[in-house]
Amino acid sequence: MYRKITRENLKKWLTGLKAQAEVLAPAKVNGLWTYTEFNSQELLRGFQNTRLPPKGLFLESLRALFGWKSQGGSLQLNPLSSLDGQRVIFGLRPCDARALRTLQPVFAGDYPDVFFLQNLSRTLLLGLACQVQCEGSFCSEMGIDPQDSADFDIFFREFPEGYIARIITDKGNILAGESAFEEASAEEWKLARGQIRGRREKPLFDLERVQVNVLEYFPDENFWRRISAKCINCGICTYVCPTCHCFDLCDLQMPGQGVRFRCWDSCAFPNFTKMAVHNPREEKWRRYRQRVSHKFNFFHQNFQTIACVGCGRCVVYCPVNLDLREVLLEVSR
Amino acid sequence: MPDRVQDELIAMATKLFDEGKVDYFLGYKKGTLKFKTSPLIASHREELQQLWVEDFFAVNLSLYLKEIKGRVGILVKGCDSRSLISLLQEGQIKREDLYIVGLPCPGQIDPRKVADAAACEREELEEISRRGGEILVRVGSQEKTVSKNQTLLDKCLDCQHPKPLIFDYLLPGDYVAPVQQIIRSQDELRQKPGLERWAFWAEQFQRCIRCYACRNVCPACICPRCIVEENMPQWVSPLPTAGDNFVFHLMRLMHIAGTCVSCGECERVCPMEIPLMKLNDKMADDLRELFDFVAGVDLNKPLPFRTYRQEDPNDFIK
Repeated sequence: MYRKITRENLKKWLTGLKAQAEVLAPAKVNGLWTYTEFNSQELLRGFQNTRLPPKGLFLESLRALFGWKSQGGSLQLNPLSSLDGQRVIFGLRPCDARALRTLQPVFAGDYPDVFFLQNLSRTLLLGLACQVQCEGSFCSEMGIDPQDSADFDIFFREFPEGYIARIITDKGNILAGESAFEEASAEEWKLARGQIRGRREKPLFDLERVQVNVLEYFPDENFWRRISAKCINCGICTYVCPTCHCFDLCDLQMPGQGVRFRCWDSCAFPNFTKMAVHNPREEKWRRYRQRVSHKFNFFHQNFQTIACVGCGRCVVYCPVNLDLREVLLEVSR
Repeated sequence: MPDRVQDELIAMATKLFDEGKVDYFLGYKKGTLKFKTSPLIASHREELQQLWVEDFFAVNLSLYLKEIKGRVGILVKGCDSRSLISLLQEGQIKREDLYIVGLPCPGQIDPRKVADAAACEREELEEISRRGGEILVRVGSQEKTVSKNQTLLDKCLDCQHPKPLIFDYLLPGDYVAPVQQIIRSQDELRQKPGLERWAFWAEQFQRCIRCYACRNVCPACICPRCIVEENMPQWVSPLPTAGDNFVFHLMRLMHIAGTCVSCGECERVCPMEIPLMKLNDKMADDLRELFDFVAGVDLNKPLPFRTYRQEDPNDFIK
């Protein structure tokens, strides 16, 4: 089902939604694109994607899990209130939405993570088709169509008069049922598929071969040593990654009370796997090998999907230009 | 930069391998993205053909001397050479293990500033080249000319040492003598009252995601174990709270006082674009004024934080 809306009406519609929900849209804050409260800002001029992925709105970089108090020998746990305010995020890209869907089974397994799941269920995802191939990106290679996606509630394509919306879920249908929208045809939807500027003619690598070969490369110490030689062990690639989801737990303790927090952690850090007597990934080649193998094979063994969406953030923000695309190309050969 | 510099570099590095003088050569190769270079850690003669010289050198290569064991040939600009001096002063590296190839530096171009000067997004830049004292920019089908001073990295604008201070071999090439006695110490922020500066940094550090890229890319950060990762006792929490972030950054700053050569790498790599060089520059100014010390310039001058004097006017250390 398709509907359309003018640019002006889209702004009015989003503003109207603020009466019922927190509405987030891309804007530049301190010079960086980020999802922030929608304030009728000039929408999307020059926007390709946010610096940090939207995963932080679901798996926060800092999240209080519960608190406790001890009094006269008894311990009282204070669970924190559930997250139930409705949210709408407009302007999400297909890569990042796929990443959220990829993370869902991780947090919905035998031990459901209420925070991630509540964040997901209270949020309506409004996607936006890309017009430019982002620098460093390889979304097409990862099987993502930058101009179409079913990972949203509503997915928008721009066309000269405004936006055409593909309504995907019931929630999306209710949201777009308002008069600001007009009916649109499948034909109009098709016509609104634009060209992606800077798109490659041929894929950089064959994903299936990456998935198979990465296991064959696994024991090849020299390969991983060579590939990772310039890595500086910082956490950028994992923190800007929309699918990396490892976290650490830490208590803030005060006399008689405390709070347990969760924060992001990174497999690039030497201490990540440090245990009492042994660190199985002391050397950085083992850590880099783990990151690539986990994303492109181990995660697939567990969840039948690959844990990379090709957004290209790790490629662009790596301080030493350790380009994952080059690594995948080598692995796929 | 002229190809002949690159040819000479490749010839020089090849000779070092052929004569058995080095086990590794540290230089740059062409990056995989526009306006980026990548560190090249060559251990075979054949890899040297990838050596590349251009205007977007990033990564202070002396960083890698922490982990590469053996005799190393290394390419340095002026600021990088100051890091070598600091590392030698700290006893982290041995002079006899190094063969230093110096590159006179014409100032490095910052694509972000080029984009601002050309009034476009960084992603829209297609080509950046030097023409005389100006920078030629291509955006789509348009060509624009912007002045060099608008496009150089801030650190390069008041660089006092564009020519390496320590080297075994100096490549040819133009370098720019200090453009003007600038600016960074006249940073507007410093004129503001303490509370406003506090508010400024509180907001900046609030954004820190604790990826530790600033620390890991820093040649002056030499501790094999960093205090922020100690957990027995835990001095600093790994939680990215405003307070812990503040402690992390200020502590790092204090620890590299006297060895930070203002190479600017920490600020360059910060994914949140926190202006860390404002802190480094303030520290450098204080060291100059209070200790008459400039980091990484004089191999024989003792480091302020490694020096103890009986007649020290402050008694806290006695």
